[in-house]
Amino acid sequence: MKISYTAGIALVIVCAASPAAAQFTAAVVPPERVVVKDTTTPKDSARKARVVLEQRMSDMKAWVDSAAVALASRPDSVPPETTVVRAESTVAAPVRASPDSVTAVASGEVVDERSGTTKFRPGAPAPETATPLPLFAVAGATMLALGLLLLRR
Amino acid sequence: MRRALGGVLALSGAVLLLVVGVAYARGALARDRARAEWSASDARDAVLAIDRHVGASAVREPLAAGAPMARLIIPVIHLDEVVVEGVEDAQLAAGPGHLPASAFPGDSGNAVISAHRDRHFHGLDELSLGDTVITETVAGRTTWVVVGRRVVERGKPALFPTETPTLTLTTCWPVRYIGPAPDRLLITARPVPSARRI
Repeated sequence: MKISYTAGIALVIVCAASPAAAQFTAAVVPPERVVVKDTTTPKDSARKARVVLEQRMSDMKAWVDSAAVALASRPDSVPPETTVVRAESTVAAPVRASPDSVTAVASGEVVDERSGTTKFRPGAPAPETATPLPLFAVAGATMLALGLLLLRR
Repeated sequence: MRRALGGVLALSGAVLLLVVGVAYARGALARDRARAEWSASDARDAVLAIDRHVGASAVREPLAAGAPMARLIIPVIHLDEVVVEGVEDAQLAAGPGHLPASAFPGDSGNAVISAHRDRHFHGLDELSLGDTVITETVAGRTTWVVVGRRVVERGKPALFPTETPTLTLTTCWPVRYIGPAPDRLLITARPVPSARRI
């Protein structure tokens, strides 16, 4: 089948026309950027900081109050029978912003609640005693045994 | 290729085991040091001389991190360790650590002692209600009876002040677990009245 050069070009244009049309889009002008001028005075900034501080203090007060309620509702003596229970069922969790939050305690010390505690305070989690050493030991022994097995073969 | 892979695996495994061995060896050395310090101090003689009045509190100077502050004896699991001040890695390698700002064992309040489950507290899960725990401090000797055990999730509120003398022992849970254990085991003990002391 013999197709002339011109006919070939025409065929390509016809075939490519449809996809090419999709490339033409209306020009959308982005909305103008609204520039907000900072009109706050140093006095306003100080007031804002004070409000934030008061909010934090009230949050802390709520936390302390809830911990005190949990403490008061908790019997001083542990039940005589062996109880292996989850924390949620025995102790009311204090009000917290999020589990990932870092809590500033009354003494000013910052404690990361994900990693246990290094100083006693009411409602503190148990100290961080988890250690990866047993995992390292098992992994090391396994790798060594496998390695020696492969070397012997 | 197989031999090369075997060599890499064996070498990596040996390095890991070496790291673990060094960590345990350093812990053992620190433990011996703490024991020697405890024995050398006047605490031992004081403990032998005084039959402590349970519940008496005293104003105490905060101890330096790592300083031996008590002796912990749990006959049923054959544990006899010197407790050091602090619960950071360095202190927990040397021995059970006393949580700073918690009460001294025997004083009014909650005395918290923690240790790793793969070292000093590896037998803590075998403690049952009614078992005896003994603590010795510079102020005297206190005999405790286990009155409770519970498991809490890591990071959850677990420690609270108490009016009466309380001893709380903590470690990771499950005790036999590969990898960082997700929960914490808490053993609670109360002092035994003098007449019942063992």
